Amino acid sequence: MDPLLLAAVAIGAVLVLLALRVPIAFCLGTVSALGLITFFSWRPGGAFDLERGIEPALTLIGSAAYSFVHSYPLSMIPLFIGLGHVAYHGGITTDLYRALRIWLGRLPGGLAMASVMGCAGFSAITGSSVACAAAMGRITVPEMLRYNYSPRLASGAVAAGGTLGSLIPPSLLFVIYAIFTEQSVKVLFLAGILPGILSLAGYLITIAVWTWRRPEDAPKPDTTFTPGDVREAVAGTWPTVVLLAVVIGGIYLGVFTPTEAAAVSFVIAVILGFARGRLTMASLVEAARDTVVQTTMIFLIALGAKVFTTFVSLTRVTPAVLDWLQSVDAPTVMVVAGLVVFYLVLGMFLDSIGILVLTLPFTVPLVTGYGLDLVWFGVIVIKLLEIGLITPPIGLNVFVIKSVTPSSVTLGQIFRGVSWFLLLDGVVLLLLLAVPALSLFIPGTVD
Amino acid sequence: MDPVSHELPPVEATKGERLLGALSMVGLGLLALIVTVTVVSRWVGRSIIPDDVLLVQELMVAVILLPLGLVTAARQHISVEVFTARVSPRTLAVLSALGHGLGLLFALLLLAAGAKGFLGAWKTQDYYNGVLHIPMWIGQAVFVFAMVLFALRLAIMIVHDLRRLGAGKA
Amino acid sequence: EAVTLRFSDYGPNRGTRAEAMEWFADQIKERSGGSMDVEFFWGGSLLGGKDTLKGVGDGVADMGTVVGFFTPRELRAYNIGDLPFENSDMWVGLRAMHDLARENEALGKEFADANVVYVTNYTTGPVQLICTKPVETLDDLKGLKVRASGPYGDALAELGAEVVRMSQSEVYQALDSGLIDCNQNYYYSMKGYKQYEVAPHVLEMDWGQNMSFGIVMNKFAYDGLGDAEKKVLAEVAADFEDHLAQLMMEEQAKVKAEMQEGIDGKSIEVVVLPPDEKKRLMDMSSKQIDEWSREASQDGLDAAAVIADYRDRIAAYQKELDARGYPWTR
Ligand code: NA
Ligand code: NA
Repeated sequence: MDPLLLAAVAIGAVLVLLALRVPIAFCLGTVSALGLITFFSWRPGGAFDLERGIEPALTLIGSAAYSFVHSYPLSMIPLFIGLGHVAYHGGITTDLYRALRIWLGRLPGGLAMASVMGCAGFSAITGSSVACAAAMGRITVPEMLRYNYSPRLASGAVAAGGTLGSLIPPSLLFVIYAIFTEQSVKVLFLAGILPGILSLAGYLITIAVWTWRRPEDAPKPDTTFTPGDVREAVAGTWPTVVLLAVVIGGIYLGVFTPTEAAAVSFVIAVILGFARGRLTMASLVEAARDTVVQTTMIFLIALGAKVFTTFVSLTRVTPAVLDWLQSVDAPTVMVVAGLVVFYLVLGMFLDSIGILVLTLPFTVPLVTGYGLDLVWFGVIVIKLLEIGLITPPIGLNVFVIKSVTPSSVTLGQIFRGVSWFLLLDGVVLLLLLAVPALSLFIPGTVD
Repeated sequence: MDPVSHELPPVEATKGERLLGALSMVGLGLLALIVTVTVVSRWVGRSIIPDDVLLVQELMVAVILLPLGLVTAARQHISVEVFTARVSPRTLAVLSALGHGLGLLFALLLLAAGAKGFLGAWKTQDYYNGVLHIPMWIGQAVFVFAMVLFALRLAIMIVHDLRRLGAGKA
Repeated sequence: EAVTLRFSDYGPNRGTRAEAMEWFADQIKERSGGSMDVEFFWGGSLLGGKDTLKGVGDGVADMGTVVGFFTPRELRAYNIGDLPFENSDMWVGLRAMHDLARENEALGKEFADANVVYVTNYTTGPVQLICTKPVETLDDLKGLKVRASGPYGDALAELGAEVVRMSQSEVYQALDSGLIDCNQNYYYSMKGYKQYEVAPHVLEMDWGQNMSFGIVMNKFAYDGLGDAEKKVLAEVAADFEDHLAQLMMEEQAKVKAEMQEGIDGKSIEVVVLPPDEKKRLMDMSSKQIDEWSREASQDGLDAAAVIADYRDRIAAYQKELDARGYPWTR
């Protein structure tokens, strides 16, 4: 069977099954596993020969799945998710959010602004956007709903805010990008800071415009605060500052690697929680249970996506698309535009890590061939992958927000809420594309 | 009567599945401790845990895969609901059975793949290069074990879904 | 009908090794008159480095880059290539290893058991040390934190260094922060990872090479080739070693000179390990060879015979080199 046709059939089958409510992990995993068996059993021009195909297919499924879970760097994911839950149960994140809420609560849409600011703060102590969305989502969304914010604004703001997790260092995606392009992790981390702040500004503007157009979506809370409240709230943020110093300081000063930062900050958060009397054995167990359940759920999806990515890679759909891009023989602007569209489309369906692994071997030579900067391109790709986390039909951040908020909030509502934020993300993306200095300025000051 | 529910209720996990969940939590704690002790001991003088990276990798297999039953029983696998938001409970049960059926197929394929990996690792008796010579088959065995229980749980979920279908008919 | 060989590599499609692989593919196509073609899957997009041996054996890919380090027992004999032998010339090392892997029975059996056919070899080039502080003798290493891998790490530990294991991509920061003082590396990789920016001192040890590192082919795919194609494959595989050695030696000389001259104001100072120290190092390293020999014997391998065969081949190519120079300068 022609590999490109096989890939097209598989992608079609995935879309149909997704629409039929088949869990994403099962859908991607089963279709791609069957796709792999077909690929190896039914070679172009030959007859279907299962006996010949089953062995390589099973080996490939096994190696893709097993090496994905049997991974040291990816232990960052449960650890940073765990940090989020422990910070939540230990009151660390609540304190941060409370302080931000007191500072910003009086503004129109202040609770939503406090939420995305909280996301930005939490991004600096987590390496994964999904972990970021999960941790902030479960605190801020119920809080906003309690103050009668519209579910769309409440969930959309945090789903979008969560995407700061990979742009603002530490960032698992930058680490993977660094490995593939042999760029310095530190330089990439530094490069992500300004674009992260810019994205944050975009989200704040979105909220301001939203609440200006539809004030009923964000009723002003009727609570007032005394200067004493404010002082107390500020004082309550010190654990966040400590964790931030451990993670960011530790990584920047090179005291430890991002994975080590994840483990150390997780352990510190547990110790702080007990020391401050905010964490009990029971709540630690609850945090741990939430962590492993969520980690498993996310890893299963990512694992399905990994098998799918392997299948797609084998069928050579990616180079076919890239060949076509190259055959147009377009000027740089066109190539960059093509790459942007390419990553946006992939981001609609595939998981971020899978996309990186699948595309970088092909796009990096294209990018360097056109004399473009790989650090800058890294920032662009990560931003595009972040956008992919909130675009339908498969938006991992949206699903995570869904999983940690009351079931009355529907996926449709979250996607609709996110669409406002996507608009400003587009503007930020254009700025990053047009002005490489936004990405390269900070790393330039350090070297 | 409930209004049309968009989600089927979770199924209670077995004692064994809860135990595996607890093991996964212990594994995560162990993993965090291994890395932290490595960092701290490296500061103080020399790294005291041999093959820390390899141990973390092995633990990851258990941490990630042992809670599969818990997640599945709780119906926590994420799916796209927009296109089927208004279907009847009967249809919902059918779709759920379809989903679990495909999940079972995936789990069985992973099981077969894992079993193949385990047998290969057992036959060669190969190990991870390091101080402890950790045999490769250990992690593979955990993978296979987790997939067997995952497949069983999915089969049970199909039964639950079909029962709901029967109940919806009545 | 042309045969397209699916080739899985864990690395990026850039750099000297990738360039040599492209040459390999081009030569195969050209010399077979188009009846064979190689299609690369870079960056582990098909199989990760750890899974390649099994993946090629089971036919996921027809060819692949295998790293012996990942299968210390399954490719026990082939792992001889990673040991610190007195073997620092890239051309000599590649040729010796190539012939050993093709002709030695123990290695042949190993590859056959894994259902693969050995094709040809790579090398990392000779092992050096890059440090943040001056290191000129072996005694200077006492108490230093050194990132190292495999048997070289074991030997460094015996020299009194505190050995840290981490991936090459983490080394830059670790050197920069003082987490480690030295890193075991090769010249091209020091430049690739920009380690010269944070560690200005290089101790040129020329301490063996890592050569348990080559291309294998699926056995059925190989058996399916015609005799003419097998012949082309063997010829290209042999010429590949000369080509790779030349490319890598030119690359090494170039990057070493660049780093010594300075790149953006950062430069390295190279100190060559004195001959008596080098001798001490090699004596020391024989413990690692003995250790491998002991483990290999336990697995039922005639380790002494494999070592002797390897040493003979190194000596023979060294002799040829001394007499006639490199093939590309003849
Ligand atoms: Na982050
Ligand atoms: Na998406």
